[in-house]
Amino acid sequence: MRQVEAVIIRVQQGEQESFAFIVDAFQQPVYRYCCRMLGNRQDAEDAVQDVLVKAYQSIRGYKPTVSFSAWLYRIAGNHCLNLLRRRRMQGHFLRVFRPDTAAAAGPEQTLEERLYSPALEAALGRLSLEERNLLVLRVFEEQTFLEISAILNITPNALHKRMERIKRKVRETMQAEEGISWNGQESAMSTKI
Amino acid sequence: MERAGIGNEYQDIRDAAVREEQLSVIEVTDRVMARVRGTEQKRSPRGIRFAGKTAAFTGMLVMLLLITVTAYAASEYIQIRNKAGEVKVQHRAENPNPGAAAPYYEYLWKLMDFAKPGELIAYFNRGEKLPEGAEPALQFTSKELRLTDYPAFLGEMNKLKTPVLPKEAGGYEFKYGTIHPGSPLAAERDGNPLYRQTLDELLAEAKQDTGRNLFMKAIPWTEAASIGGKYTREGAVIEIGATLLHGGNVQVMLRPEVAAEKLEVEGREIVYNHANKPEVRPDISYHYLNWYSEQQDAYYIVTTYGDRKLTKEQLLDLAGELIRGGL
Repeated sequence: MRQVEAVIIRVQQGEQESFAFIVDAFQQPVYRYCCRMLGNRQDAEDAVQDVLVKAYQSIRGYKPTVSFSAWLYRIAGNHCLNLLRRRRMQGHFLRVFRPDTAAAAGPEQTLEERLYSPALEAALGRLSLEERNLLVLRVFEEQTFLEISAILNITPNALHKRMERIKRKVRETMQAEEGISWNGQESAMSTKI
Repeated sequence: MERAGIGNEYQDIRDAAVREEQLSVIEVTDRVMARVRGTEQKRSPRGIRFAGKTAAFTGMLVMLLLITVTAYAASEYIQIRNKAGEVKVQHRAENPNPGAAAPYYEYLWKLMDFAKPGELIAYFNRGEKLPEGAEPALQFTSKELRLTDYPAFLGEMNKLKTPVLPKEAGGYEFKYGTIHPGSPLAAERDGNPLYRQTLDELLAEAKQDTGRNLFMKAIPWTEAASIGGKYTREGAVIEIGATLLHGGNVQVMLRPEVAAEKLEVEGREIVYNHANKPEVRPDISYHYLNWYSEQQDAYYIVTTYGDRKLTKEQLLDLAGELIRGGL
C-alpha cells in the first residue's frame, strides 16, 4: 500500500496519468463491492467507472488520516446508495391501474443475473439500504469493524450492535423463506381464468 | 482493499451468494482515464464560478424555499387530467405502513430464471394464498429487454408502436434502451383463446407434476408496458422512462422527503419533484420530472444523476426539447 500512497501524492501534485495505476489496482474490488450492493453486473460496471472518476475529482482532498481503500469505499458506498434510492424511488412509488383491473403493476424487479439465493435476496430486500451497505462491507468485503468505522464514521461498538441486529434479521428472513413449500395442496382444480 | 479474515461467523450468508470468483473480471482503465482527461480539461475554479453570485443565489434560495413549502402542502393532491376531465395522474402520500411483501416476490426469481429477455411469461402458482373472495387465475410477468444498439431499439419501438425515445437527449448520448412486455387486459384474456389454452396446459401439467407448485410458459405479446432510455455524457446520466397506460391511470406515491410542484413547459403540465428535506432525510437530495402525454397515453419520468446533475432549469429545458421532439 506504500506504493499506492506514493502514487496518490503524485496524482495530487498534478500527475494525472499516474491515476491509471489507482484504477488498475482498485477497479476489481470496487466492482465486486458495487455488484454486491447493486445486485446487477451491468450497473456495477457503470458504477465502478463513476466511482473512480469521482475519486479522481476529489483526490486533492484525500488525507492519509484514513486508508485510501476506506476513502474509496466511502465514495463507492455513497454512489451505490444514491443509485439504490433512485431505483427504489422509481420502482416502488408508481402504481399503474389499467382500466380492467385494480391489480398494481409497478416496474418489475430485474433479477436476470441473480447474485444471491432467493432467500438471501428476500432478506436483503427487507433491509434498509444503510443496513445492506453494512452487511456487504462486513460479510462480503470482510472488513473489520475498525475499518468499517473509518468508512462510515460510526463507532466500532455501535457497528457491532447494528451488525448483530442485521444478522438476526437476515437469518430470520432466510429461514422463513427457505421454509416455503413448493409442494402445496391440489387446489388447482377449481382454478378459473 | 485488503481482506481481513472474519472467520466463519457469516458463512451461511456468504454461501447464499455467488462466490467472488464467479463475478466477472472487468477492465475499465482506458474508459476511466478517458473521462479523467476530459474532466481535467473542463474543470473550472470553483471560487471564481460563484463569485458575485452569492446575493442572487441566496435570494433564489429563499424564493425556492417559499415555493417548496407552499408546493409541498398541496403536493399530495396534484392531479393531471386529460381533455375529457378524467384524472390520469394522481399524487398521494406514501403509505407509511405498506405491510408485508407480496407473496409474488417469493417466487419471482424462478420466473426470472426461466424467462429470456423480452419475454412475457404466463404462470400459474398452485401454492399462492389469494385474498379473500379472489379466484385463482393465470398470471403474467415479463423480463426486460435491454438493447444497446439504437437502430435495434428504434426498430422495436416502431414495431410496438410505442413513443419513440430519441438517440440523443440534451447533448447526452444513448447508452441503452429497455422495453418491458405488457400483460394482456382482461378483455383480451377473455376474448383470446390463447390464454384459456395456456391455463389449461399449465393445469394439466400441474395435475401430472405434484412435486412443485409453479408452472410457467413464455407466450407471445404485442404491447409494451413501458420503455426507457439511458443517456450519458462522460459520467453524467439522464434516464427517460415512459409508462404506457393503455387507458389506465397512474397513482404516484410521494415519499415524505419529496415536494412536488406543477409547472408548464411547451403547453404541457409538468410535475417537478424535489427531494431535499434535511429535516426528514438529511442524507439525500435528488430531483426529477414527470408529465403525461395525452396523445400517447403515456406517463413520463426524467431523472438526472451521476457526476453532474442537471439543474431544475436544465431539466425543464430538456423536457421542452423532448416534448417538442414528440414525447
